[in-house]
Amino acid sequence: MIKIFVGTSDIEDNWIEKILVYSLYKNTSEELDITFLRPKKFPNWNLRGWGTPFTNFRYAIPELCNFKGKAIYMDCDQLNLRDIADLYNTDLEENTYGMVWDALTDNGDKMKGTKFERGFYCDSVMLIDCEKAQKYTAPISEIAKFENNYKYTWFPGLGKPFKHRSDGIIKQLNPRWNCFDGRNTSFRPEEWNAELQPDFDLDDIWHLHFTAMSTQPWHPIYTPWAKGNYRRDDIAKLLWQYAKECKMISNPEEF
Amino acid sequence: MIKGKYKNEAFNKLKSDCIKYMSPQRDWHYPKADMYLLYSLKQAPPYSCSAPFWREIREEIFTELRQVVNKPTIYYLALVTHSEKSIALPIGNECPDMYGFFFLESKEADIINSNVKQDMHAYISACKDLGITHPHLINWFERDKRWHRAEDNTAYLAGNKFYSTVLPKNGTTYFHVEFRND
Repeated sequence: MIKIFVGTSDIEDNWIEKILVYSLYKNTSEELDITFLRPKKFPNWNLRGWGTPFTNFRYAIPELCNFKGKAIYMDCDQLNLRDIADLYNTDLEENTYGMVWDALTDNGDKMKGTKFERGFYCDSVMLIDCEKAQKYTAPISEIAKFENNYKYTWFPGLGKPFKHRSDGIIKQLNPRWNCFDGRNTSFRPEEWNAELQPDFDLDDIWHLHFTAMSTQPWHPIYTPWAKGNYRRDDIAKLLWQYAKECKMISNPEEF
Repeated sequence: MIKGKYKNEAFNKLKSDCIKYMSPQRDWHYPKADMYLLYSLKQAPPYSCSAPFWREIREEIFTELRQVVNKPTIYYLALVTHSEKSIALPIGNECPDMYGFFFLESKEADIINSNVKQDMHAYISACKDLGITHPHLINWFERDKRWHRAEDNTAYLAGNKFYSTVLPKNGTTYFHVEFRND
């Protein structure tokens, strides 16, 4: 049984949730135990300053698992394209977490102009050793009341923004396990601009993350301002195909 | 305001596909309504929904829209479905040229039309019409405004010198269309 936790909103992401779950089952023969982490399941949490309605629920996972076994975390805005058991069975060795390296992530003003200006692991897909993770995570009772975004405390505890400090804590996963809008972000080309960042071919993506919220094809209700085009037609086409297949399963009488 | 019938088969098919396959979106023009953005030249780069059913029917829809209004460029197209709690803010002078509402299901929605007059008071006056519950009781002519009870499968079009305020009912469904005269 593979434990999977999905960070999501109460109702606003239902469309992509169904597609994500469908895609996970479509590509595996393993039994999945999927739990949605929604605001309504975490009453009295301080959600102020979170970028999404579910940002810090992921840090509750080790305690929710009673600090036993392994678990996978993923955001809801994703699409699985390869057996998730392959991720689950990744050998973490001495590490606590498995994450993809995101060479583009901005480490803030303090690091500007240094070699640590950009790049760190990304926690939107995580393989977690729940027993070891107890050491790096505050109790749920503390995370829930955290005044500032707990993410900004949790990540430095793992070494952010210094990669060498996370040695022995985070294992770097294949970038295909958290493929940001089709891009390979495991490195940053010299004289970088967005067009130079390499892409994976569609059949070489294992787990896709619709990272840029303004271009997510379903345009979630909590980001009403900008509605941009999705950057890759082949990925958008596949997503709509999955949407249709989901609809055929849930409402067969309409077809 | 110009009122006219249009061939609605393609529009009805597009509406049912949007509701069937898409996730409802939000937009400030229609607070609390479900909207489905299909096409917009308001932004750079222009937006075109990636759903295959839209890509397939787009030219048919555009051709029909151009037959209703003889303007070459479709500037904006969105499907709007209203609930009991949703409203539609007045639109008019921000549009580049003519605009309109292609009603599929009116549910006895009303439209109030007023002159833009290039001042803020006209917009606020149009906003005040949002509070009207019995528009048939009002002498709109005296207020230099016009009232229309929207009908199913009917298009209502205006130039950008006029504000239009849709007063929707639960289930009111229309395509919001804007044109540009290139």
